[in-house]
Amino acid sequence: MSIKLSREKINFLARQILNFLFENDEVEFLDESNDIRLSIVKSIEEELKLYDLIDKRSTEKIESQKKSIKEGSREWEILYRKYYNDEITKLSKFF
Amino acid sequence: MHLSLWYLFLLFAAVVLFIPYTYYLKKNNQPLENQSLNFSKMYCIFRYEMRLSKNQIDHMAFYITRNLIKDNKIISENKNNLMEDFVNLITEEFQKEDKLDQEVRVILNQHMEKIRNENIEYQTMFRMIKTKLAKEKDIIL
Repeated sequence: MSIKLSREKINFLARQILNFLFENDEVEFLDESNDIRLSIVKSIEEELKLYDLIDKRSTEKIESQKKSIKEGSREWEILYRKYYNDEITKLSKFF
Repeated sequence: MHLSLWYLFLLFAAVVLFIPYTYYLKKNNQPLENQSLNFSKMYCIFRYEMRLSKNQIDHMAFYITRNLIKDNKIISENKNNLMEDFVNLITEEFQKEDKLDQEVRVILNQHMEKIRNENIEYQTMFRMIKTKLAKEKDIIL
């Protein structure tokens, strides 16, 4: 199940984050605000592509099982959720 | 004794069958009459709870923070705090849209008879009302 966000939504989120950064005293800016905004937009877009990849991997993993599992069935949904969450928790969250 | 058993049975039916069923139907934005019972999907309702899951939002916030710092766009004294703030900000934004969906469902449920009688397509109406309300409330879809 791929996740789509509209262009407006992505831009809006980026602006919200940028505004938040401006209000944050602990943050120092090293670049123009528009470049920072564009960097946030790019990160969100790449992140959505990553979700598509994880979705594909999870679906393939279910299809590779010996037993045929019908898409949309309870078993399929459970496995999909499990594989999806496994994949996303595997991703690094260390700076 | 028999009466309490009946109460227990009704409570069980409400919790296990009726509540998940109505919730599932509403989540799919369809009038109750147009749907058939699908147990396999009915008990997987929480997959559709939010537009992005907690794990996804967490990772998105991490990725934005990491890229801003890695690409020398900002310097932050506390990266983890910043990431947490982004998580909250993104979550709040998506919750606004979830609440809006809920409001649209309530409005449409109040006019269900008219929708049925005049053969209006539920999904089209849902989108129309959602767009209108979003504009009024300044929510970007």
